[in-house]
Amino acid sequence: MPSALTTAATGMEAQQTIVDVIANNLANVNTTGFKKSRVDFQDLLYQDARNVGSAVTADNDVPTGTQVGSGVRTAAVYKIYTMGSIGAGARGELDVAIEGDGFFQISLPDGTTAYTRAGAFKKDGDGQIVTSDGYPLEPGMVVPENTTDISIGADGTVEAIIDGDTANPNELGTIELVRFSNPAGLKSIGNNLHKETTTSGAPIAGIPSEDGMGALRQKALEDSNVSTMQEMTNMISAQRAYEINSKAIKTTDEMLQMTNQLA
Amino acid sequence: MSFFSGVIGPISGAAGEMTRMQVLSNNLANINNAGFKQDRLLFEAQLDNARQGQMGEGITHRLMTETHTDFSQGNLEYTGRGLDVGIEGEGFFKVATEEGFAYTRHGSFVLQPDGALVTPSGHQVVGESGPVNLADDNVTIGEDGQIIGANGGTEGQLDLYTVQNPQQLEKQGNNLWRRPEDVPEELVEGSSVYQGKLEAANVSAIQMTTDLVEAGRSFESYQKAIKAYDTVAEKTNTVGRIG
Repeated sequence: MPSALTTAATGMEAQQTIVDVIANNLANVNTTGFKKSRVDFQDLLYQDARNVGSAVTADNDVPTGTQVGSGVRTAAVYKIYTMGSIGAGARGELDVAIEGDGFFQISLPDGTTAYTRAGAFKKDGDGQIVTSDGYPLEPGMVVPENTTDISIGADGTVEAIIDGDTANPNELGTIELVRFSNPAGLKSIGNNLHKETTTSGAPIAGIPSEDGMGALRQKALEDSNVSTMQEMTNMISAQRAYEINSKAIKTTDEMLQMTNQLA
Repeated sequence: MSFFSGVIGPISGAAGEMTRMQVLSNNLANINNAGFKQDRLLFEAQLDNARQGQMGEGITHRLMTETHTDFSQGNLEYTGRGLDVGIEGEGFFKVATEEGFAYTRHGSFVLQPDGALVTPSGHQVVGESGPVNLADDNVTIGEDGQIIGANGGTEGQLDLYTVQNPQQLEKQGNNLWRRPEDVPEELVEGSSVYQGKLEAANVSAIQMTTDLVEAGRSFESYQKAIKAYDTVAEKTNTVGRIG
């Protein structure tokens, strides 16, 4: 039989995990392109408790199912990919938001590709378009010197105006996006970057504005999808749940104490 | 049957309260587990050797008989996630597991790369027309369970199932219930499913608090009764047994 003490302890651990995840969500409430996480739970195995004195009730119709559960465990912590609001305003010309399901592709120093929705790009010393951490956007694009203006179209076309010559823009390339059949399966590696896993599926590449990738919007950034009010409410409910699980431990402890005092 | 066999009553009572504590703890541990249904432990007083003869051997045993799952509706809570589906009304989603079909009300589904709509444990959702597969997660799910794709076409259907008496379903852990082989399943009509919502556990913190106090106090009473029998036994040993 599972002990009520360990069962209640799994409950306290579960609430602790919720609070941990909420803390991370709240810490990132102002992080561009951040997606909040959620904890998903599963109940643990059930055991059949033997009926007390059932042997003497041969003539009685005593149902056998006394199932006693043994608590809860964390099944998964996964990201919720709902859209954050797109904030325009004082943004740079390389700030790009995705109005759909797509991700930007970023080349990591080890040669692999990571994915992000945080489109706050910059130019590095060579004019290459990079993330805030200096990782280049894929496919790579170099902004020529003397560029006075850059325009990024909804379909991902990047054009540079050189020396104010607006009549002959210099096409630098096209920003490609990818999407995943199960974005919740992506692995977050920090710095707003995600990596593909077997559960996320392989990236499906495409052009912005097509196939649900979402249009690009220049001089805009996607806010996090964290709602402070919702997180605070969830935190209060987790705290209360923690408290009542600890009461179960206390009551069980008192019962065991009484038993010990019998002898 | 000795004079002191009556002590069996409070002992089985105390054991029952301890089991009740375990059931309560499990309810509490799952208070934030979507689709969870709380259990209650039902007690049944059983009269053993109830002959009102010279011996006066009427002894009440307190027997625990069964856990009863409370299938009442949990609150539907807004999550905004497209593959979260909450059930309002009776019925369960049906999923395929290694050991055959199982049932769940935990509707936080995910889409696998091969298009299979699965629970977080990887069990695929099954409807009247077989396993549910979707082209992508950009779908609208109607209250009748119809899954409409981004292009407006029907991609699938979420069906709900139950059995005549849901108490016959057995909890398996992993948020699953299993149906005994001899109990037929029924297709549910008249329940609604809501996209972007999850059904909260139907565990009431207030009810649980009072239940905890009650279990603790009842246990205490049984302990006192056991102690009383012990005192009587002690006295008997002191004066010597008569008769």
